Amino acid sequence: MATYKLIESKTVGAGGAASIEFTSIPQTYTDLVFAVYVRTDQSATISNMLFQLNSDTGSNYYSKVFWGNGSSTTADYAEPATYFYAGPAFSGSVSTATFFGNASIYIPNYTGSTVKTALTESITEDDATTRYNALSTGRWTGTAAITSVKVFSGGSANLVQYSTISLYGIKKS
Amino acid sequence: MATKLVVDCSTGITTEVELTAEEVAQREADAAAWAAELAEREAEATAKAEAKASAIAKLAALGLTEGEVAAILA
Repeated sequence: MATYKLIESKTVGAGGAASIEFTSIPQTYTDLVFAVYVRTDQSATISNMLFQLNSDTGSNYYSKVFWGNGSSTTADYAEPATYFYAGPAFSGSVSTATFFGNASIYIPNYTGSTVKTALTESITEDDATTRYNALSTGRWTGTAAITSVKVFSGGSANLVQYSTISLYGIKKS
Repeated sequence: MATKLVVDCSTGITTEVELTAEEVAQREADAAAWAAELAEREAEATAKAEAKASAIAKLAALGLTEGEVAAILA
């Protein structure tokens, strides 16, 4: 029976932060799941969620994403890019105060020696007429076991206070 | 000064680290690249929408009904 265990959880303090990075990830699980609850200071209703593996800032990530906002749908991509691109998963500073985007990042077989993939799903609820649901999938061409993951937003946006990301490990047996 | 949070999962210790000059420069470069890419995609979407509107107008000028135009575009 699979087990689902919290490895670490981090909440941003009063000053905000450019990113949250989990390092020295234990290699004792089969899959990783990140529960993401983030709002940024970007002057927009929504902000993009981006993430990198093993501090790799090279153009080694290939992502496709689609999202809907209740009235239209969009398909987008970033390939190659210097990060996984997960679409509008964060709430921006223009969205209703106290609302944070919710997302999950699923990375299977993170200790393996082949190309890594990631799946994300997210919702940015604004308590108004517009909300965004996004799904993305991507691959990283690196083959090393994943030991660190950094989550951030596009441009110079910072994650604001109370933004929280929890990392869980899944063990299939 | 912008900072990042680094969580060492082996110890549980979290450190708030100031971004280096290189990281700040990278963020600024990423922001500029992102803005340029968005502008390019918006221009592409606008051009596509304008071409579609133009095509619809030309079809209508040929005498096609709205239903017939919609059937062609479906």
